[in-house]
Amino acid sequence: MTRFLALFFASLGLAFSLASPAWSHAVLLGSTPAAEASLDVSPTELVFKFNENVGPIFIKILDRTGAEVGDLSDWAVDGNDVLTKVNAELPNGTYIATYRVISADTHPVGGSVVFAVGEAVASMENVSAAGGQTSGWVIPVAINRFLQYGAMMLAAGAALFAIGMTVPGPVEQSVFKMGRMAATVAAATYILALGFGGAEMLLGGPSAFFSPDAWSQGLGSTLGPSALIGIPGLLILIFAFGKGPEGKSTPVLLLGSAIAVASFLVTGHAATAPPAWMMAPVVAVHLFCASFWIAALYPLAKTAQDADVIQAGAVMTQFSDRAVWTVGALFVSGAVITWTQLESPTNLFSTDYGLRLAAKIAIFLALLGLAAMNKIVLTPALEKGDAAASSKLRKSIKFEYAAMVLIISAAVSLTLVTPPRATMDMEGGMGGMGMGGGFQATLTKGKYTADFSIDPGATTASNMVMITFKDDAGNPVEMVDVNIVWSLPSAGLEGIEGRGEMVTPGMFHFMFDQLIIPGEWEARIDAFVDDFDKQIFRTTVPVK
Amino acid sequence: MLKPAFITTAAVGAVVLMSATSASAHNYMTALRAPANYMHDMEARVAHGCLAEDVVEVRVKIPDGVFRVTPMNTRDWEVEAEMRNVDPPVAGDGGRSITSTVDTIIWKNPAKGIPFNRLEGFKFRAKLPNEPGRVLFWQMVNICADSRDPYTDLPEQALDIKDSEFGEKFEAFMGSTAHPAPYTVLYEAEMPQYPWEWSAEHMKNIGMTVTPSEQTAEAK
Repeated sequence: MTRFLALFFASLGLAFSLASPAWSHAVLLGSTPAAEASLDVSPTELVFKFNENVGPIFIKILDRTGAEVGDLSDWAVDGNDVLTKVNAELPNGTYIATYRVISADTHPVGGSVVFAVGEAVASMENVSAAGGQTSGWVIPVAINRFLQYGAMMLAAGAALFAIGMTVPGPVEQSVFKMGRMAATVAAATYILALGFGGAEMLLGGPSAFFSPDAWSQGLGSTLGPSALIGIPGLLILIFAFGKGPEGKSTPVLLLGSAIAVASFLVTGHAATAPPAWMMAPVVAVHLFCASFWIAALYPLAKTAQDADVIQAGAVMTQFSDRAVWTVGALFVSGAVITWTQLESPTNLFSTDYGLRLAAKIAIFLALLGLAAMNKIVLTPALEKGDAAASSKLRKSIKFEYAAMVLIISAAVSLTLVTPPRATMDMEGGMGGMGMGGGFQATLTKGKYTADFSIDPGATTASNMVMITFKDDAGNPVEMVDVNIVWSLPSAGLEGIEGRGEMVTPGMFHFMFDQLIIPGEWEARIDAFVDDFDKQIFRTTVPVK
Repeated sequence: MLKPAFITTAAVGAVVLMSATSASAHNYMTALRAPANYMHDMEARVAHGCLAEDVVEVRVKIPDGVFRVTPMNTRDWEVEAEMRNVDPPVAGDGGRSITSTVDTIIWKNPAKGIPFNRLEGFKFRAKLPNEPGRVLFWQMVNICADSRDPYTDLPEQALDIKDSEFGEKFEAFMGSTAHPAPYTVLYEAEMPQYPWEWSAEHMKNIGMTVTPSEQTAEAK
């Protein structure tokens, strides 16, 4: 009898298995509103599309406070779709539509979709695919940053040139005029940087620049303090240059240029790199020297063009004397910055940042060649009254202009990628990035550790997560694939997933715009050591 | 002998029943149960493609204790077998010593990948371990152009078929993840796989009566 019963159950089981061998958890295929959609008006309907018929447990829309909104009707099932009416208009803002349903295999499955009404919401697809700077706003950011760098250094450099060089009157007039224009343009770029930068940080759509959120985001980042320092410095310079050479005030020009340069020391990878007591002065020296050189090109060319040869020779000799020290300081400070940012010489050609830096160094070396020719060949020729040397000098300076444009472009491109030094810093936290707040934790699973950090850990911004995996010997572990699944039990939210992008071996980068409700978010990190060895790390993250 | 066989058979039946009615994985084995120590034709099913992409590569990890694995040639797919060493060697059939075995079977570069709403089977033959009651987990990963769909999750605690809560624990595991590894539960076979290994007792167990003439033939 017992044997009969055993065979009966086994046979019954087999029969069922043959009849329905392939149940599976339900998979969300799409939704209305779509994930990351930015709607102009409040939705009237909420639809979740699954790959199979499901039974809803709950469907709700939450606002940024975690409160249920939308006055949803009872849900209905239409084929594989679950839908409900949204009876109350949603004010402009960002929302999470969340669901929990029963799969055909009787297991509950939950997930969430973020959408926005009347404002931009980031594209998660873009974020996870390229790790951050992926919106179209990166182009305006880069262009504006190029203008900002060039104009700020031209303005600060003009002040230094006016203080340190003696040039013919008309040339000095042009230096003041150039300085005033450059300072004005630079001030405008500082303001635009807040909007462009904020739109980029939010990975916003075409109208994001006009959104208060973007400006708030920009102001809340390091761009805010930079503008708050830089713009007063530039206003001082505009005032000082406005007085003309006859009203020249060395202390005011020095003050304005120092404040303007200082605005670059509160943002960016280089100036904020540790140790700050060393790097900030080094970067300041680098900026002062570069500014002086850049600002000198126009008055030198004008001198070579308008002044007589002997006078031009005297100015060039004077500039050459100062340039020796300027170039020396530029070279030394540049070497310190390079060494600090690269951490290792091999990173010069093995990392994106390193390659961009290598291009900048190559152009700088070419520029040095031109400068050397000017000093060794053309300046002595001018002193001897060789008129042809004046023409050659102007031509040489044109090449220097081009080289400077390329160098500034390279410098701007460096700001768009993370230096190897910063990625190392991020392994131990976010200290080197000049980012505030956030949350860090070291998680352990077996012989593996995961250094987890999130910045800023706030509901009002895109949250960047960096995770570095190491083995018990402290060596980076090159995971095949890493995913994070977020849930917020207090709000019944779950199933917010993101896939990591590898930054360096063992280090993964994520961006999350869905953490819009404050609370204790739970993160489950699935890290694949190889195809089949998955290590699961868990942590609870306070999001404010 | 009867009691363990009963427990194993009933438990396997219950698990398969539970699995079939409530919780099979996305990727799955067509043989949710199989006789231990049998040379068995297995089929791993990929239940669907990735969301936006076709599956273009499938990898199956062969569990420990499974030997003599031969992938079936699958039309329109290239088949590869990665090997691993068996250390120390184990005794195989016919007194041979097994020093290496298939670690992973890879089907790749298909003429056409597996779209989201289609399933496809991948067959291989393998000698299953002589461990009735063991749950064999066949970890699988589906590779798409720019994403992976892994079915690799294992229970944190080994599932013991003799555990009175085996069914509940198995179901809890299946419900705890969307990516469980496909499995096959081994049960004790009523008799050896090949007819020439059957004894009169085996024949009797399956209700066959040995006739005198057969007895005579057997005696010869």
